[in-house]
Amino acid sequence: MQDWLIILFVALGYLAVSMAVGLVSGRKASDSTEGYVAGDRKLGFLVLYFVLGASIFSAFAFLGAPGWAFSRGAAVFYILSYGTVGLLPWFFFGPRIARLGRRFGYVTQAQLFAHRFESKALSAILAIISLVAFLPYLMIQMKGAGYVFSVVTEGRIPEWAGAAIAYGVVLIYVFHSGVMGVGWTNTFQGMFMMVLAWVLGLYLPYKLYGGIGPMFEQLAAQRPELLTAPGLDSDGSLWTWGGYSSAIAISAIGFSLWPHYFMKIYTARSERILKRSIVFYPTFQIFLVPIMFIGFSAVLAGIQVERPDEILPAMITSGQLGLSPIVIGLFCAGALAASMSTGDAIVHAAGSILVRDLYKAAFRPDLPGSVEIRLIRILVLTIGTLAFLLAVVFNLSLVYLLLLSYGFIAQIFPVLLATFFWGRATRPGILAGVVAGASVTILCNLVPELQWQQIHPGIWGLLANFVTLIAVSLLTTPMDREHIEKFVVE
Amino acid sequence: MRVFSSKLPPLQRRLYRLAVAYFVAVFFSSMWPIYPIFSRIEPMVLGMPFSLVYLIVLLALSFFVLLGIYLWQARNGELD
Repeated sequence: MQDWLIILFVALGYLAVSMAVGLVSGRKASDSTEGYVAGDRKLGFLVLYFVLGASIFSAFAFLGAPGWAFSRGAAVFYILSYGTVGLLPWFFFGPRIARLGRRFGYVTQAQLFAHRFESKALSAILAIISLVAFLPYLMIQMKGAGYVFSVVTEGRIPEWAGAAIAYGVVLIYVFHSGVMGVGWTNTFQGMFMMVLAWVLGLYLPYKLYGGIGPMFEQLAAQRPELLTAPGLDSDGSLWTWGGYSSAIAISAIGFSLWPHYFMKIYTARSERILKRSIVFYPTFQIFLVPIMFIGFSAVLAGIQVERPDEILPAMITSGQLGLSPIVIGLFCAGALAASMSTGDAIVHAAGSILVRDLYKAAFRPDLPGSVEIRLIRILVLTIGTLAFLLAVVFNLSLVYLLLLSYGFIAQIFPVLLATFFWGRATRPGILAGVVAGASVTILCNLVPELQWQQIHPGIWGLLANFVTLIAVSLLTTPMDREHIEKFVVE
Repeated sequence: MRVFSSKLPPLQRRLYRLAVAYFVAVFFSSMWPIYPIFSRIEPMVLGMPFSLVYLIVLLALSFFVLLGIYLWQARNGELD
């Protein structure tokens, strides 16, 4: 049998298992919105651990991080750093959010904030911010999946068809099983990614250089600029400390606030389970280290690629390593797992958020549960298809949009702090803060002269957000004390 | 404005305050102007440049500190 056929069969085998796991797991939840969106708040440690790990590690981690290490060296370290602290806020706020969720029946992020500030407008604004941030994120996952198929089959399966196959599977299991499908497939996909990252990350340096030590010694001798932060910019010049540090800051702040991620707090069975999953998260996170080794091992291997993101598949399939087609197929499956485990959570959250936080909150408070689930399911399919068309047909530039989306998501941070720690924050204050923050972020993105020291536009947005929030809140009437006491730490 | 509930015993509140201060310190240690001090190739540890080892140590320390807090809370019956 030809090599590419073996590779394809392994990848299809992985897809079949994902689909089976996704469909079977749906039976574990009730047929209600709480079941479909929050898994009846009954997820255990194993599933939650892998949801937290796999739904944040996307195609970017699996394909982009080796690409960064290969082309920009130590610049890639920022990904390791923001993950070190990114999830910590949950350890302290998470149980409180979960308790409020149980008490008031929240299943999305905006429900909590809209309730605290008694504002439908806030709910709608957050829903729109989420959607704007989700679309480029989802499109990148689809491109990643399509790309992997196309490379390992040597172009026999075009990118659009590869993306359609992988995301066809995702849409089917998310449509059918909701968050349970996301959770159990992420468990399977997460294990897969972890094993593959460690095996490849340790094997490639060994095969090419005789070990990790010899690899870094050769790099230190020939390309020392790659081994110290802040590494290189995408054009090959030195990156600035401002760009490097603010990338960590904005990502660490945004990390735990991504709405598809945040709403997983509600799925935990208990405080103990939630905290334990957060405590053990770094044991997943550390798999970025072997992933970086893969990128570093390519630097002196003499492999040519057009875009740095292609370095991992290009290495795996290059004859130089002589990997068996089954191993290449497993790699292909691992990259698909990285893409799908993020994409499924986003498409599921996007449907839930649009229905809950925009349609139901603003227009139809009396929407019956059975209709709500049907609407969420329809929107899951619609958003999946829309992202696919945008990603494949129009071929938009995504890097720019993704940069913008992290800046947007970070604007939720002041809302979170005010919800729990500042009873004096008022509805006009919050709304003005979020709008000011998002506007400044957009402005700094559009006007390159404002990007002093390459500091991330979202940082300026956050400053504007905090200042506006505090100023407007102090100028407006305090909110009802009894209502505030349900949320604020006393 | 309160960060930790006034219902917590003083010892616990002090511990949490320390933990939060520690994590904030870790956050800033990975950025300018602290990280540049440690971001160098030598000494290599386990074959890795020091710039990377430093970040791995930060990650590992944070893990053990949080694990410690979790176990301590579990022992005090705070998680039920």
